[in-house]
Amino acid sequence: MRTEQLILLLSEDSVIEARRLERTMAGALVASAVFLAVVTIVILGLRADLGAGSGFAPVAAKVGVMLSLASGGSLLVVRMSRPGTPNGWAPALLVGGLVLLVAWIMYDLSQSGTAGLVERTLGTSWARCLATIPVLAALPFVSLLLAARRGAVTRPGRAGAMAGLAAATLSGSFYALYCTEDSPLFVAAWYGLAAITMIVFGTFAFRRFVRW
Amino acid sequence: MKGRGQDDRWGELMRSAMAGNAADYRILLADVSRVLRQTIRSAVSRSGQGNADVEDIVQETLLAVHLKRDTWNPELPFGPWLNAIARYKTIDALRRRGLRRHVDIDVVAETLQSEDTDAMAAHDLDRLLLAMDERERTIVRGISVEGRSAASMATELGMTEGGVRVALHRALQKLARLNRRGDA
Repeated sequence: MRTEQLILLLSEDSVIEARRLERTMAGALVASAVFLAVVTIVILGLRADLGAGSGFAPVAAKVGVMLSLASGGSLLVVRMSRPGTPNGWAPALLVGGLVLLVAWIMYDLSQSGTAGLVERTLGTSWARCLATIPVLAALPFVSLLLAARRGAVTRPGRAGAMAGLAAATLSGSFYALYCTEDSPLFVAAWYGLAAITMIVFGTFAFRRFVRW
Repeated sequence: MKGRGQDDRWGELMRSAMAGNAADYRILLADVSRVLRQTIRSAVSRSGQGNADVEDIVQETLLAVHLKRDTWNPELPFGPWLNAIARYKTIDALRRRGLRRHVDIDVVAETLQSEDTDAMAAHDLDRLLLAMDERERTIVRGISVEGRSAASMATELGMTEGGVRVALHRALQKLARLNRRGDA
């Protein structure tokens, strides 16, 4: 086939799929969030002191860090599905989440000193945290992946890393409603390791499955 | 790949094309294919592969530009979007061909012997057309080889014009899918 002939062919195909990437991804994330909320409330159970003063502050800090990372990560997946789109506010949200976490750690160290750092980091439920967050992240990750396949991702590895981060932190923000570990060291270590697992997994999964 | 002034021109043509102006779309694709041919030829020669595949990669890239044009935001310049698509497709095509060559040495010999091919003709899509069903092939042949319109194909096949366009769209999607799999 000559290229002029292909051009004739393309110009007769006027079907433009009205793929609203942004809307598809937002829908996917909202549906995942509803699912995660139900799982958290029905299967895991909310922590008892959620409304009380002692529980509220650490939960708010955890959710704040997680949601900031989740929104930055998913925004970047959307941007990367549309080549040539500037990143806008997305990197700032990622940096914001990390700054919040670091500030929380420094505050904690200034209040509680450096005694028992290992115990504070390990807590009592690190294994459950490490196992549950990636499992809960599966649904948001798959929905982000399916949405990204409809776009034109030109750097699948990076987009996959961001999708993994977004899925893990969205899952983490719901897990935080259940988890009673209140040390920022625990959050950084185990929520962090769960996110890194999903980032690595996401990189490979997108390289394998987001091709066009 | 893009000059300053070209950005706006291409963006304008694409906006008009997406609003349904097929003539503007043909102008844009012809323009884009000329620029793609240059950049892809130099990328191919840098990679140390023969020139024979250049037109195939140009066509693969045009097909991708076509099928993914809804990921271009009409409020942004067209050049950066096209650059990203073209870079991705070229690298992908070269990588796939590199792999294929290592696996099948006969292909190399054949390519070296047939260097007298028409510079504008490419063969991958023709091979893929064999995987189409009868109706899709009739539509594709009629429009591309005989230069007929979707409307006149509709009359011949007893379909609606919209039906022909949808069938053509499906056929193009199938081509892209087969291309990607390297089933040529």
